[in-house]
Parts: sequence; structure tokens; C-alpha cells
Amino acid sequence: MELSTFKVFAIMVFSVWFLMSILYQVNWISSWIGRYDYLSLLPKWTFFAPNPGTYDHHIIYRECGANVDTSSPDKWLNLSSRLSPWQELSYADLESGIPFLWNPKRRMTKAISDIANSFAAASLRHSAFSQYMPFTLEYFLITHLVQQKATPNTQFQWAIVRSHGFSENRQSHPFLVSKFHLSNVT
Amino acid sequence: MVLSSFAAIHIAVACAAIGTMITTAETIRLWVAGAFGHEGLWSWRLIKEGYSPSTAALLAPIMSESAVLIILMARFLCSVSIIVLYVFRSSAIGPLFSLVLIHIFMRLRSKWGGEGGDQMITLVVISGLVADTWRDESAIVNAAALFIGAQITLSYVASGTAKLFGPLWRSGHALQKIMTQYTYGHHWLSQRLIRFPILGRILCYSVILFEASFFLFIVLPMPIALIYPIGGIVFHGAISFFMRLNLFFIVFVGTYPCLFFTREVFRSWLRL
Repeated sequence: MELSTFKVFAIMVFSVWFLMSILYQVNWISSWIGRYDYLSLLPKWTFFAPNPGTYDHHIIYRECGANVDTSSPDKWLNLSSRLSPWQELSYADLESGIPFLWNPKRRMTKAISDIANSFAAASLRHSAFSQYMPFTLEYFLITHLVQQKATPNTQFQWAIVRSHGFSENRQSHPFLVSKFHLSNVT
Repeated sequence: MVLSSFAAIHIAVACAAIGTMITTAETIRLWVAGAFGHEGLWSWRLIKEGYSPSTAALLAPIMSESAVLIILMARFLCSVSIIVLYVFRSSAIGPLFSLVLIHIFMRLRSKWGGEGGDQMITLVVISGLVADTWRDESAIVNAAALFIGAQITLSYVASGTAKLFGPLWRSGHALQKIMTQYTYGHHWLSQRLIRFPILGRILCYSVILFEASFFLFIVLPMPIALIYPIGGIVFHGAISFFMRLNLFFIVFVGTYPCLFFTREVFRSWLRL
């Protein structure tokens, strides 16, 4: 069988793509090449490995009056009587009775996990992450999401918490806590 | 009897198209819930901040909430038309090319929430487009089918090998921990794994052994080699049911004809 230059080129493209895919499974290579893979053409196949995610991530928020002084974390400690209880951003309306066939909610929960994991990865990479965290796209996004749910003319603070297990008494651990922000003004 | 590379690719693409229909319908449900609107998780008002102002301005007309719905509906129609065209043994270059463009669009628009099933769909659709475009060039169609067969083998071997480096997997506790959460867990199975820890260990080691040794499918003789595709069907069925990752079953199992084609080609090269 004679191979034209074009056929050789096509076979070469598939071969290089596959070899790059093999290399991409190595973490330090994928973190380097991944920056240039704008179209996500290189797959990462290490599902739930080596360290599987074993936590659920939840976004919770609480509110207080717009005129309360929340300017520093020291002041938050004395605010307990003026703060609402924490409530969760819930997507229960997306739940399905046949999730093994129809499961729109999984994209939402996966997105929240992706965001939480990007915070975790950034905090490991940069010791000063907490200082520039409020300027990240992910921080803006969650603030924006909570802002839509918060009572108008208040201040709100959100947190990402991790939980494990199905028990109603399961322990939840705060993973990240935001500053206070103003809600929408009516 | 061994399938031709062309038939193997077509089956993989048809299954990927069914997977795309399901995931697109789910994404339309998210759209209805406002996830792509100003108040949603994929609000363009915020996602555009990840791009330079000139790029954001260029993309703006096709990134609006209403444009996303039109593109999602187009993706659904492309997936349906691929299956219809294949039933009538026609080429599906147009819808496949559109799906590749829509993949690029969705990649730019949905920054979070992607999963392994999406990655496999992308690889299958691009390979299917190449195979359909040069359908008379057997060398190119063979290369496309081999590429898919090699990728599915890599997916198992890479995942199994990575698990060997995970302390939770090696100790046999990983599945019990994964199952004991709302996101990917299952209450009934979690209770069984907690009550019978030996079951968790057996399942962990079985998953690692199955995945890491998947390349043996190519070298083992029939019918022993069938352990792997049969194990794969059970594995993906269990993932789909217990972890609610519905895309994994149809998309991954759909590539198995390419896996069989890859096995035959490698065995002839190795003179087995």
C-alpha cells in the first residue's frame, strides 16, 4: 500500500496527539502543557486518582444589616447576635428521580467542586493567596451568585464548606470564608 | 468476525452522539434554571473577565444567554442528524464539523463543570469527522479507529496506574469514602461497604487490577480476553448507576468496537 504525503501527515497527527495524551497523564507535564491546551484536546484520564475527592462542597452564606461594621475579621467574632444563621445555596430543583439516566444537577455540583479545588490548588501554590483571592474570577463568581440570593440592602458573607457522609449530624468544615459584601440595593 | 475500521468508528460516533443528546438536554435544563443567565453559575458577565477585553468583545455576540440556547439546540439537532445519516449510510461531515465548532464554543463558554465523558466525546467526534471526510482512504480511517482504541486503553491504564499511587486506593478504603458523599456517592452501597470492609478492599483492588492491566486485552487470546470488555460494561454500568455519571456508559462502551479493531491490528503486527 502506497501512502501519500497527506496520509502520512494524517497518521502523524493522530500519533503525535496520542503520544501527547500519554505525557499529559503526568501531573507536572499536564500543568505545563495544559496552559496552552486552549481547546481541551488533551484528555486527563486519571479519574478519582491518585487521591479521590471524598467531600461534598457546599456554598453557604449569612447576612447582617447594611450598617453593621464588618470591616475586619476581629469584628466578625462579636457579631453573632446580629448575623442570620448560615443558609445553603441549594440546587434541589435540579434533582432527578432517575439520576443514572438524567442528571442535570451533576454539572452544577461538579462546577462548584472545580471552583473549590481551584481555590485549594492556588492556596497550595501561593503562600500569599489569601491576599489576592478576592480578586480572582472564582471569588467574583461566588460573590455574584450569593448576591442574587441575599436579601436586598444587607451585607452578606459566604463560605465554602466541606462535608463527608450522609448523616444529618455530619461534620462540616469551613474551607474558605469570604469578606462581607453589600447585597443588591433596591 | 472483526468489524471494519469504518463501522467501528461509526458505532463510536453514534454512541457519542447519543451521549451528546443526553448531556445537551441536561444543559438545556440548566439553561432553563438560569445557569447561563446574569444570575447563573455560567454568567457571561463574569466569565468574560477571564478573557482580554478585545477577545471578550469579539465573543460577546455568540456568548449571550439566548445565543447559548440556540447553540445548544443546534448541538442536539446535529447529534440527532448524525444518527439519522448513519442509519441511511450517508456521510455526516456537516453535523460532525458543527459539533467540533460547538465543542470549541462550549469550552470557551463553560469554564467549570466538565467531565471525562466530554473528553471522550471530543476525541470520538474529531476522529469521526476525519474518517468521514476521507472515507475512501482506508489508511486514514484505520488511523482514526486505532486512535480511539488507543485512547480508551490509555484511559484505563492511566487511571489504574494513578490509583496505585493513591494511599486510599492502596489501603482499600477509597470506594467506601467516595460512596459516602452526596456528589458521587450512594447511600445503600456506602452502608454495605462500611459494614463489610473486606468488600471495599476487594472492589478497590479489582478496579485497580482491571484498569492497570487493560492492555492485556490486546495480547490475551480469545475468549479469555473478553474478560476486559465484559468487565468494562459492568464497570461503566456500576459507575452510571451508583455514581450517577450517566455519560460514561454510553460514550465509553460505545468505543469498544474501535478497541476490538485495535486489538486485531496490534495482534497482526505482533504476529500473535
